[in-house]
Amino acid sequence: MYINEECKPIKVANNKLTPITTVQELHHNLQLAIELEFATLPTYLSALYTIKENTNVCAYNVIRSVVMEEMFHLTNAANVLIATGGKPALNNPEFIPSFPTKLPDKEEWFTVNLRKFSPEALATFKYIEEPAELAHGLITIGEFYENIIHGLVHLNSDSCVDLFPSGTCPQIEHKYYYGGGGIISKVTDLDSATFALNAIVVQGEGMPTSDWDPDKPLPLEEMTGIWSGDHPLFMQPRELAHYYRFDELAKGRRYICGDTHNSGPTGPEIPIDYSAVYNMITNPCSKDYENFSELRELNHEFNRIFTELLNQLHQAFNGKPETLEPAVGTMFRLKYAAQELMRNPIPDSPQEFYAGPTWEYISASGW
Amino acid sequence: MNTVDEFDVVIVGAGISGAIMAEQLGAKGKRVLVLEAGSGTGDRFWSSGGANSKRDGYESYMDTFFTALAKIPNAPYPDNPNAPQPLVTDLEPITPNQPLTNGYFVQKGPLPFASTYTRAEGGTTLHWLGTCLRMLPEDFHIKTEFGRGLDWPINYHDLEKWYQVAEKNIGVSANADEQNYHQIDNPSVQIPYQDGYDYPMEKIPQSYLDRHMAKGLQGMTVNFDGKTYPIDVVSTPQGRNGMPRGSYRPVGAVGDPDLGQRCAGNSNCVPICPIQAKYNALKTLMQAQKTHHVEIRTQCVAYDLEVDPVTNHISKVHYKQYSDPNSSDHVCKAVRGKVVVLAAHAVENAKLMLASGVGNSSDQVGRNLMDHPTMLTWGLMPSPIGAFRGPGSTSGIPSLRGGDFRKNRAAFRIEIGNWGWSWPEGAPIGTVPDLIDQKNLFGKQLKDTIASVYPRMFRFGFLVEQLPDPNNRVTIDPNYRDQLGNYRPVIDYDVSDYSRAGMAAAKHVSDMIFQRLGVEGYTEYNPSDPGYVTYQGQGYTYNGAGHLVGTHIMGADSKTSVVNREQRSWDHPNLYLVGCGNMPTISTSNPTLTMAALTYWAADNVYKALADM
Repeated sequence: MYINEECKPIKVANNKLTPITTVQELHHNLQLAIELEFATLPTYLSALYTIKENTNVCAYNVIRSVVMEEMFHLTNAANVLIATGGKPALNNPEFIPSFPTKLPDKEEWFTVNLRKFSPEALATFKYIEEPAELAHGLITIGEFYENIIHGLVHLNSDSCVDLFPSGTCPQIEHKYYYGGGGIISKVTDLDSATFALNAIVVQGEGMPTSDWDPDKPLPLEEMTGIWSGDHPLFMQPRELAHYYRFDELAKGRRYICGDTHNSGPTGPEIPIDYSAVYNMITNPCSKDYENFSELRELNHEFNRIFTELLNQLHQAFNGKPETLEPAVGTMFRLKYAAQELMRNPIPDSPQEFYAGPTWEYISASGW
Repeated sequence: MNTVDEFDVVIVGAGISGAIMAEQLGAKGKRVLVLEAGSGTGDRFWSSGGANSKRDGYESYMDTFFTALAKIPNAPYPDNPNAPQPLVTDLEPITPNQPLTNGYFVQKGPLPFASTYTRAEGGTTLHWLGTCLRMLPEDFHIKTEFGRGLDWPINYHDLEKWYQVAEKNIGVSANADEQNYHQIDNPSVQIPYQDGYDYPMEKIPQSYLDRHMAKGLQGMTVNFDGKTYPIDVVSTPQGRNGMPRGSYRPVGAVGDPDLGQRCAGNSNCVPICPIQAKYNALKTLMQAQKTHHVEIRTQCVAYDLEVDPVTNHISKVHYKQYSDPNSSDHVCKAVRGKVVVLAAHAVENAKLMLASGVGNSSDQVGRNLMDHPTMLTWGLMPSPIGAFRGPGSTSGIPSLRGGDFRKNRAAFRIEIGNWGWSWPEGAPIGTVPDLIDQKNLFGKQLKDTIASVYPRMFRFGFLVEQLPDPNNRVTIDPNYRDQLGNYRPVIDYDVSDYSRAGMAAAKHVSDMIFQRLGVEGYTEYNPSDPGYVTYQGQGYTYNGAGHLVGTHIMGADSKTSVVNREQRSWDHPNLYLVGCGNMPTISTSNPTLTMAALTYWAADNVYKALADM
C-alpha cells in the first residue's frame, strides 16, 4: 500500500518513547506536541494552495477542514502546557522544521515533504495520520500523546507536584476556534487535560480501541453520504478521522455506511483533477529563487507574514489570547501571499516547476 | 379513488417564516409538509452527480452570480418562469394609466414599488443583509402616541421573549448593552432588554469607517421642532456568525458545516454569502428535516385554498407541481392539513388569498403594502476609509428612530454602508469600465485614479418609515398571469408626504454630517430615476429596501384587519398567516427579526391549537 519509494517506512532502532517523570519533561513533550501539530501545516497548506481556484473543491475542503483541526490540536496541546505552568514558544526559527523533515515526535519512519496536491502528497498525509493499529512497531502520533497522558497521570499522583498550579496564563477559549470539529474546553485538572489530548488522537487516527478490527464498519452515521437518497459530493467530514478522509481522496471514492478499513471506500466517486494544480517544486528553498529577484521578494513577503503570524500566535498563547483575532487576518494574508507566489513559474526550470513558499521564520535581525 | 395526503400542518413557502414553523412543529412531533414554489438545493452545499444526474448545490448559486452581468440582489438565483420573481432591473418610471408590465410585477403606480424578493428554497434570506434590529417600544402604538398609522394588538413586552428566541435561533451577533440604546440621549429610542440577557455571539467588529464616523460625529446633535436629538453611531446586530458567547456554537453552511462558522469578510453578503456565515433559512430547514417529521416539496406552487362550506376550515391546498422550471408542464395536486399556514411572503400570501377568495371579510387582504423607501446620499471622504471591505453594513445611526417629530413626519434609521458607491453607482463593477472606456485611462494612471478615489467612497442609506395606506396594495387581474397560469401581482403604490417629509429631514441631516466630516458630496437625484419624488420643491430618490410589509395586517378588530394577535385568520379557524405581511406598521427596523419573533410565537399558537383539534 505504500506507493512512494521515497516514503517507505523505515523502522528505526530506537523507536521507544521515554516515560515522562518530571514536569520539565512534560513541558518539553508538550512543546514538541505543539511543534508536531504545527509541522503538519506547511505540508498540508502547500498542497492546499496549489489547487487552482474553483477546481478540486472536494479535496480542497477536506484538506482545509483537516488543517483547521490541526490548529485545534495545537491549541489543545498549548492549553495543557499553559495549565501545567508551561509557556509555549512559537517565535523562533527552530519552531519550524526545514523540509524535507521528520516529525519531531520520533515518528522517524517517514519523511515529510512540501509537495503540490498529488498522490504522493496524499501518501504522506496518510502516514502523518496513520492509526497506531496499522503501524505495528512504529511510533505514531497517537502513541506519542499516550505517553504524555501517562506522564500526566504519573505526575498527578505525586503529592509533591502541583501539576495544575493557579495563576497560569489565560488559555485559548472555545470562542476563538472554528472551521473544524471539536470544541476547545478549559484544562484545569487531569481529566480535562486527558480529554483535550484524546480529542487530538481521535480526530487524527480515529477512536483508539483495544479491540481494533479492520473488518469492523467505520463509525459512519446512516445518513452520511446517502442523505435524502442523494449522493452529496461532500459528506459529513467530521464523521471520519483524518486518515480516512485522506484515504478517500487517495482512492477517489467516498466511504459509506458499512465500509470497513479493509473494504476501503466503496461510495460515490470523488472527482479529482491532478492537472488543475500549480506545479510547485517539491520542498521549495530560497536557493531556488536566488537568481530571480521577483520570486525572492514574493517569498520574502510570505515569510514576513508567516513570521508575523508566529509572533501573534506566540503572544496569544502567552497571556494575550485576544491577539488571535488579528492573527486570523494574518492567516488570510498568508494564504493570498502563498497563492500569489505559486502562480509563478520558475524561469528556465527544465521540469517547468512553479514557485512555492519556503515557510521560514525570520529572526528580528533578518527584517 | 384519489387519495389526498394529509398532514398536521401544511405550510406554503420555504423561506424563513415557513422554515421556523416547520422546525418548531416538527420538533414537537407534528407531521409537516412544506410546499415551495421555487427550486431548491436540498441539503447540498456542493453540486453533486455527473453530467446526467447533476444536482445543484448552494455553490451553483455562486456560479450563476459570477456569470450574471448585473449583480442585483436576485442575480445568483436563476429566473424561474414557473415561480417568477421581481427584479430591481425591472424598474422604470411609470407613465400614468400605463401599467409597467416588463417584470413579474404589474405596476400601476403612480410610483413604482421598488423592492424584490426571492422565490427559491430559503427565500429572501438567501440575499438579505442580515440586519436584526428590534422594534422600539413606541413603534407598537404610533397611532396612540403620534396620531399616525396603526397600533399593533400586541406590545413590545409581549414580543420580548420571542425576540430572544429568534435572536438565538437565527444566530445574531451583537452586544445587548449597546443595542438597548441606553447610551443614547433620546429616551424615545431606548429599548428595555431583560436583565442579564445577551445575544448568542459577540458583536461583529465595527469597520474602520464606523470608527472614523463615531469619532468625527462625537457630540453632534440636530434640532427638530425645537427639540435637540443626538447623532450616535452604534454597531448593528447582525444574523452573521461571530465569536460565540458561553457554549453557543455558530451554525455553519448547510451541507458543509465546517464552512461559515465565522464571517470571513468576503464582502458579498448581498446578494450571496459564499460560505453561509450569514444566516439563511436553509439552516432552519435543515434542522426541520432533522426532526424526521418534516417533508419539503420544492417546485410546487400553491394556487388555490379550498374552503369547507360547513366548518369554514381550509380543507385543501391545491398546488401545481412541475419538474422543469423552463417548461409549463405540470400536474395539479392537492393536500390536506389540519392547520394551513401561509408563509409565502407578503405579496405571495396576499395573492394566494385573493386568488382563492379566502380570509378577506375585512377587505384588507393585499392592502397596506409598505417598504422602507430608502434614500441614499454619497460622497468622497477626505481620506481613505477602507471602502468595499467587511459586511455590507456594520453600524448605523439609530438615534433618530423615535421622537415627537413622528407626529409630523416619518422617522428614519441611518445605515452606514461599507461598500462605497456600490449601491448608488454600481461601483466598482459598473464604474471602473467607464474609467477605461469613457475616460481613456490605462496603466499607472488608471491604477492611481482607482487608488485615490475608491477607498474614499462613502454612502449613507436612510431607511424612511412608511405608514400603512389601504391604497398601497396588491391585487390580481385575470389579464396578467405567469407561465403556469398563476396570477402576477398587480401593485398600486405611492409615497405619501409624511414619508417625503422624512426624506427631506434625512437629507438635511446628511448635509450636516457631510459638512462636519468634510465629505465631498456626489449625491444626485434625477427626475428620470424610477423612485424620484418631490417635496416642497426639492427632489429626492428612493430605492427599495427589500422590506415588504403589510398586506395581511394583524389587529384587534376583525373588520379592519386580516389576522388576530395569534396570527390566525379572522375568517378561517385553521388558517394561520405568517411573515412580514402581519405587521401593521414598518417603523424603522428591518422587519425580519420582528417577523421571526412573531413566527416563533405563531408556531406556539399553532401547536396549542392542534392540541384542541
